[in-house]
Amino acid sequence: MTDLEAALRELDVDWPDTPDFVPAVRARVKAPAKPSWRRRLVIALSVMVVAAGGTLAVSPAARSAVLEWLGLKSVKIERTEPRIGANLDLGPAIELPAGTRVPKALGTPEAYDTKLPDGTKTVSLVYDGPILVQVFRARATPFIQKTLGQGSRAERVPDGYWITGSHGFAYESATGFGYEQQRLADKTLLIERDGLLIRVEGDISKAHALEIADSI
Amino acid sequence: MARELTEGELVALARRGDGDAYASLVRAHSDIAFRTAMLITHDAAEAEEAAQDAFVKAWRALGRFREGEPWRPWLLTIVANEARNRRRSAGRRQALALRLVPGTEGGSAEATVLAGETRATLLAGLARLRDDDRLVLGCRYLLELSEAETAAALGVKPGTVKSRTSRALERLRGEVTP
Repeated sequence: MTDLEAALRELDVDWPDTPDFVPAVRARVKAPAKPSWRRRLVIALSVMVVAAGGTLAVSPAARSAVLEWLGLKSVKIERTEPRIGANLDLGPAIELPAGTRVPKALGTPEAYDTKLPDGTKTVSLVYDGPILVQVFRARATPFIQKTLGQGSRAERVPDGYWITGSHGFAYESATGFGYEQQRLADKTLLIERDGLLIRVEGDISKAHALEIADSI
Repeated sequence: MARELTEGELVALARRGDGDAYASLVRAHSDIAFRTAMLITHDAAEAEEAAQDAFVKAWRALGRFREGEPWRPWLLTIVANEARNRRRSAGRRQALALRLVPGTEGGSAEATVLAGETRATLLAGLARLRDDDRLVLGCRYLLELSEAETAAALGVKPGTVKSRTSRALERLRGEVTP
């Protein structure tokens, strides 16, 4: 080792104190028990029912209870540094799976087989604009947390949020937690509906996004 | 007789969903994760976020970790990726303001002052280096990462670490030689 290397090794740097990561990491990874195959099947089937257009006639009171159960009523907004320009990374283009329910009045979408950060998959629909539409299945454990960047705004809308400004959001799915970054634009509508998280993203107006989400 | 679990045993338990085992791994690697992120982001708040996100991502990715391999380089790859993503998004930042712990070496007051000056000169030289030079030297000598760990943190081949380190040392020598 040269003198220079030895001198570098001897530099005693006054690093900032290391934070205690354990409580925060514990809270974020408190993964629910793995669902049984039967439970997985039920989830898969219910996703198919929704995708195939099964009606979800839920009374306002019942819906409110569902939302409460999902924890959306007390959604926690964390301010963190925005991550601008997340790549689109939607996965391979596929034929629109038969029976996929698509928003009305939006023409024919391009469909992509998208792997989500938590390891689950969803079909991403991309329309002219471009507009991105995705539906995630929430898991039984009540959880939803959005992590927004500084300079972004979350406006309450019925059953969800209209987010403007660069952002990402955290969620929990059947297999774990995921953190989705904005993919297309810094305008995203997130709607929680009966255990599903509906995402409509694009350079569009709030009214248009709400209209799209309502038509799913 | 009770003994501490080895890292491999902790990883194996964590892979099976043992949160306490994972907490032990997090605790043992907090310093190196945070400081590696500090070297890259130059910002304590961002480094904290990067390291925390990395620990969460590492937990989720444990299934893909090859048992029997050392865990630290694998973790540092994730930490460095998280840190780089933040750095890219935040644009150019000020140079890492490294401070030295006041010298505690024994000897005469004069010797202490001289040693302090040498260290200050070295630090100032480091601060003038290009980012990638400073990063490779920071990983190797300030964090004392192995070549393999440095390669994992920088996302390059171990051979590249060797050549990059010697080039960076040469440039630092140029900076500190009167």
